[in-house]
Amino acid sequence: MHKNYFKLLLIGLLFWSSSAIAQSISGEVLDENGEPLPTVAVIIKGTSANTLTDFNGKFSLSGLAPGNVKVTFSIMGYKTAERAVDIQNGVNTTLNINMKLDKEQLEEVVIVGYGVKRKAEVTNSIVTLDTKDLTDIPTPSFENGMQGKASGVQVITGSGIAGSGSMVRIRGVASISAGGDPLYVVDGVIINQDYFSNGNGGGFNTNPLAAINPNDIENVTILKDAAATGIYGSRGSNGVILISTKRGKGKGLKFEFSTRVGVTNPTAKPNMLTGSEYLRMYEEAWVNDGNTGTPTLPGTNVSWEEAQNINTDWVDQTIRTGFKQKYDFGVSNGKEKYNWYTGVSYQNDNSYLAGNSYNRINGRFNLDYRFNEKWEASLSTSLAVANNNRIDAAWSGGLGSAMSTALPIYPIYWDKDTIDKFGNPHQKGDYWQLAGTGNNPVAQRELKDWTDREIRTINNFSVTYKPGKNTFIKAFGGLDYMDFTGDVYEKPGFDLSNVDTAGGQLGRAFLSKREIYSTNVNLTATHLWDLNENSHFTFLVGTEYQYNKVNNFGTKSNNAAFAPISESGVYERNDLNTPDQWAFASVFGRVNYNFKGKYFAEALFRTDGSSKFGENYKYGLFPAISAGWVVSNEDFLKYNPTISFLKVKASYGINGNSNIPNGRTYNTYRISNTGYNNEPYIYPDLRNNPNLRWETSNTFDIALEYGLFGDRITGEFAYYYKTTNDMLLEVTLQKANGFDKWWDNVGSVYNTGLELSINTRNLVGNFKWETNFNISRNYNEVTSIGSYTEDAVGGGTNDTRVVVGSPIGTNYLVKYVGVDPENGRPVYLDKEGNETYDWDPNNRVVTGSVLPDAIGGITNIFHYSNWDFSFLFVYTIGGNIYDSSSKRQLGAVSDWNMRTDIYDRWRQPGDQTEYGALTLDPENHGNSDYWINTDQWLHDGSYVRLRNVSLSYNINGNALDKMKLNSFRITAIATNLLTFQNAPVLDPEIARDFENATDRNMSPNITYLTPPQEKTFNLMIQIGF
Amino acid sequence: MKTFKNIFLVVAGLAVFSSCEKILTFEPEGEGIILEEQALQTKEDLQKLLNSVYDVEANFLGGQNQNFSELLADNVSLPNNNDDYQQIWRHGSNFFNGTVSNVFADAYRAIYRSNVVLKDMGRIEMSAEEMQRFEGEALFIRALNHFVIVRQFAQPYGFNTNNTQLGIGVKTEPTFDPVYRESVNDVYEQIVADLKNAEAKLPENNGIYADQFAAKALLAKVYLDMSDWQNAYDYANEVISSNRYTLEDSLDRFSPGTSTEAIFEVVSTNSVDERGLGFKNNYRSDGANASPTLRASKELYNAATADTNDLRGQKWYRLIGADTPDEFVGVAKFDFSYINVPVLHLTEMKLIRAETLGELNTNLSQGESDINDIRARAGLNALSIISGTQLKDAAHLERRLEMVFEGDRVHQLKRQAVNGDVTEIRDSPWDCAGMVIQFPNSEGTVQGFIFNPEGGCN
Repeated sequence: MHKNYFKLLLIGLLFWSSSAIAQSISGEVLDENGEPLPTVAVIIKGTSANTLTDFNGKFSLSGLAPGNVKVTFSIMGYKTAERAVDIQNGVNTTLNINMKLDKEQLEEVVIVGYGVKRKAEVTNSIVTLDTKDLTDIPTPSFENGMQGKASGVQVITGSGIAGSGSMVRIRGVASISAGGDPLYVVDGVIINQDYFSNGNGGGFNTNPLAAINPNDIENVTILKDAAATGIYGSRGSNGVILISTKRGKGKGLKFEFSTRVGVTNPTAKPNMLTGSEYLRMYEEAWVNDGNTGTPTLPGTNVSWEEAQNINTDWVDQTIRTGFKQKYDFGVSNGKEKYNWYTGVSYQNDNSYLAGNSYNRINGRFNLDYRFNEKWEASLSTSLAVANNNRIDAAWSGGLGSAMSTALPIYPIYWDKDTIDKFGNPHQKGDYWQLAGTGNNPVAQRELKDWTDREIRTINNFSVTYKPGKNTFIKAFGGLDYMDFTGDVYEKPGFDLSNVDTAGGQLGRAFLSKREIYSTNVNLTATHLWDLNENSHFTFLVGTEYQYNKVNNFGTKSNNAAFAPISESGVYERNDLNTPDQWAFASVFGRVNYNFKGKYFAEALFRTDGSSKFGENYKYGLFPAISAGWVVSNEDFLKYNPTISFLKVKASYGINGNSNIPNGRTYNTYRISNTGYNNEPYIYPDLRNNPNLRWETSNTFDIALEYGLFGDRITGEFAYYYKTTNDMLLEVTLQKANGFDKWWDNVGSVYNTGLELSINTRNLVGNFKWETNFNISRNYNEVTSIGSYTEDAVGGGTNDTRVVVGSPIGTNYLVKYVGVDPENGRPVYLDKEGNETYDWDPNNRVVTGSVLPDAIGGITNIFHYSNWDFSFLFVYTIGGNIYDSSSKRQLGAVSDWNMRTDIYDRWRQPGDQTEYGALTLDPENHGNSDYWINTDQWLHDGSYVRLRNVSLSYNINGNALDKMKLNSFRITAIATNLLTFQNAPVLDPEIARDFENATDRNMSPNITYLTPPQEKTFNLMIQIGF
Repeated sequence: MKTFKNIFLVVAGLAVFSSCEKILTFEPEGEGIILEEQALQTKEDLQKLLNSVYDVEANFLGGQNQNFSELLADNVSLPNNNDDYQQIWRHGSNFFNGTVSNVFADAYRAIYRSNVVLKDMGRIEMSAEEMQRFEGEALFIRALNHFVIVRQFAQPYGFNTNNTQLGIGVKTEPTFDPVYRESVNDVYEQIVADLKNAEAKLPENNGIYADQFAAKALLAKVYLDMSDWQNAYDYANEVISSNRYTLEDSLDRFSPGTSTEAIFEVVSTNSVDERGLGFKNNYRSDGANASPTLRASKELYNAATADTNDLRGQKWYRLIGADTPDEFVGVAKFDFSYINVPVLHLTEMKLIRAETLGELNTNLSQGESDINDIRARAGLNALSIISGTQLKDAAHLERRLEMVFEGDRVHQLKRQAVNGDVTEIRDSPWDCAGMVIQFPNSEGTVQGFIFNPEGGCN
């Protein structure tokens, strides 16, 4: 001790004379074994003085003022060290230290399929996000939090409807009729993820991930390439997302409490015409068409005179400011023998749509128990109970009606006692429903009680046996159970034609029930073997069985003057059940090789047998290989000051997709007892394909991981090429065959792309600034659809097609030129490119692109003393959006309300306008059909959105100790604050309802009365104690 | 030791795997679903399958299909409030027309099921007569549907000398191969062959289902369409001479209950199981049906009421809003709570016999008595017919006024045009492209399918 001080003093004195006014600190940095450590970052806290140690581990910082300073030493793989130095006037200080290895960092593990791997050894394409990434954006469903954070992963957030889910696409779209979403695995349980279990009633698809509480999640690992997903065989070709929940690692009893409250509004409100504006437009169209006298309004529900005084703002009636709140409480304890985590949570989200809310209670208990050196067990159980108070939206009513057929000249209530033109009496204050209940969104909402109830429990249990130090045998079982009830009660008066024999109004109740069981069990054995000191092997073999059953009890209804069915207990469970089941059985194995910690290789295979496929194709083999080279561990790069980490990896693998409905390999008949002439009959129902098999994807992937300047800049650059063959297609047959649709393996598509991520620690002093940037580009092209034509693939609404040479879901529209200034008629192009006033479906051409050119996000994080500030921009470049409802909102004047954009219409010869002359007759727009699709409504889908901004303050030091807390953090978060977009649509980020998987793959860029995203302001408090 | 453990595990896993077959096979189950292997085992099962053929057929011939033929011609005016019908009336149907698509699908669904009956009946135990009956009925329906569809979706028989113009797809097997259009000549050959085969096999009596005389009547109709006067006469004569059918006293062929003159009809058992909805829902103009979709044209009305004694003019039409701008001619022929649809009836056979005798210019007196029977029922005086041309013209006129709205008009005009008697249909050339209906979009899902040309009629 004294020796060192004396040394310092001596050296200081010696150097004193050679430095004038400025002082310096210099010295040597060594590792545990006394070897010099180069490229260590030496920084004086609170100043801009910093440097790196040289090849000999030596450093020097000069030009320093006297005073007390703290010097920090940091380098990847070692524990950051800090020393206090008192700089004396005129004294140059020497500072030597020994740094200790940071074992945790070196052995930082990443979760991969069926096990873990050291991060340095990973040869596949994997992205890991931790709990903070997922909870900093206040969303009810965790996958929304992934947006903009992982290159190659496109997340389109669900619409503003409460409880809606996102659409996730990893490295493009490779399927047409089979599901295109990745596989989700929660703590090893392959969970049920059917987005169409409840169809698209009310313009909404149920979100199967909604039951997972984001606060329970420890981290999420996204597996992108074939080598990573190969271990999931015939299910992994769209990528795999592994979710791990908190286990309570770390020592001692810990408590966490957090709460978040906020308000929500839509990102944009539609501008529809008022009553008098609508009448003005209507009259102009009436006169343009050569009519005289008082105009007759469509549907004759309201007369012209009555309409003069009515102005209902239906948009206002369907929108409100919503209030959201969430409360989480978690307890965890870690000891040598065990660690556990338990958490409860309550969430209540009122969306900005009036009458719409989603509330959920979650509970979870996770336990890991180590009996002794050889035996270990693990248990996770969770329960979620959710109620979704639904309203109609989009094409089904509500805000969708306000943007379409709920005209501003319809009143909400009758303003006096009257008898209407059909002879029905109404009292003052009754709902006005002459145009149908769907066109009075207030009545539609208030006269209908609609709740979806979901009970979901995801559980697993596993036992690990370690017969030796290097062998693990693990038995695992998981169960995902969901019980879903849809409860609708239309009150008397909702359906005015529903009357009893005495003429009194009846209500109607509907109850639908569904149960889904998903279980998977597996047995794996892992063995670590060191051939010699340089070569290390890890072997994994395993077998797995997965079974899924859906009991669908259908919908029962009865006309009721009072209580809904669920209360009156009329429902009998077992009738109407059409069960649906499928299973997979698999065997898999994997070998990892590590040579000198520099060269890595992996080979794996998986065999899957599936009940979904025919006799001839029950089993498939899915192999993959990958290799990696940590170049920065080579001697020629080991001490390079610029490059601190460099790794090259490549992989090639084959995996599949079998996400199609079941039973497609059987021919079935249906029985009916009352047919023509009251005779019973049977008829062929499903005609199936005994050669049906999975889609096969071959993926090649190569990537570079880098770290520069002591890991001040890190990131990854990747390229992939993926061909998918035997695409599963629900082909539209010619009707002359007597059947509508048939499943077949047809066609091929390829996806190729580049992903780049750059993470920089710009400032690392007291004021820290970090930027994370990622961008990815995916190119998708259909290379074949067999002998079928584009029209064979149904399911793309609004004229999207599968066309060879274009991406999946290309728009297929008639080209629009503009408005003819001579006469105000819209002008189109025919197939030869000549201008014409007529719209003909034969003139449709491939136009626009469904998928964006590039997507990504950029996050900036600032930290200063107790403050954190961060903001995330997500962006999409290129691609097109098709605004399908605008062809009615800005087309011929009709029983649709119109947008205020219509003011830019043609009125006299010579006018150059956006929209043609107003008319009531769609013939003047080229066709007697109102619903014609042209690229007039196709817009550039590029946008940049400030997805979230958050500012937080951590209470530290004495105040914290006084409250006996470990941490206290307050955060203010705003989401979707700003959007910069090109398209004149409400919201360029569209996730709408879909009818089935084909629709979901092929029509993601179509918006039809889709509610916009929500803009929220929140306050979050997190306390640990 | 450890490696042995691993090997054991793998072996155990594979052992589990080999017993996988059972756990990887789930047959579809549920209310009302059975596997094909169990579905067709006995002749009762086969009868049920045949019942399903009639079930689809009853929907197919319930009116929508017949309306297409009326829309193309001069019996009806511009339809009210039905975009798909308006498109057809304007001779501009395109492949997105949803109503056409559904009707087309029904026709071929019945054909598919008929083909299944024909394919599977061989392996089911039954007597020879029973098998013949099954075969006859299936062939009859198959031929009937091909006949109805080819007349609507292709240019008529006689359009060119050898009838090489494209017809429709002909399905004689229940397979899913690509379907291409055969020539009209080949289609008619198949139809006639099927009907002759059916005629030989069908029993004389078969309840409300197809019987031998139905096949004969249909053959008469098909031969008339082919302008084969002799054959048409032979078959019509056979049907009439059997004396199994008598003309209805009232004019109400289309009414509840079986008709005495129906040779083959679609039966509605009551107002719950109604099959004539395509007629009733579109034409009915009484009571609460103030605004029917289909209305008679003024020219037809004038022709029907030209002779004030004509009961058909009095009973089947009602002039609404006379002399106002909202005037239209409603149709009263289908004013019933539910109706049967006679597809083949005695009146038509008599008209065929009369017309063909006129064309052949023989036995004019028999033709004359046929015409006068029909006229007498309609409250009109008898005609004295002395020439073949006069007989033919009388048959043309009575046919229009009798079989009005039954889906016959456009085909008669086309046939007359082929023989030079007519050049225009409602002011458009009889052979313009839009005078046939366009195939649904779904037919183009295989490469090489040729759609009809469009337009040319206005």
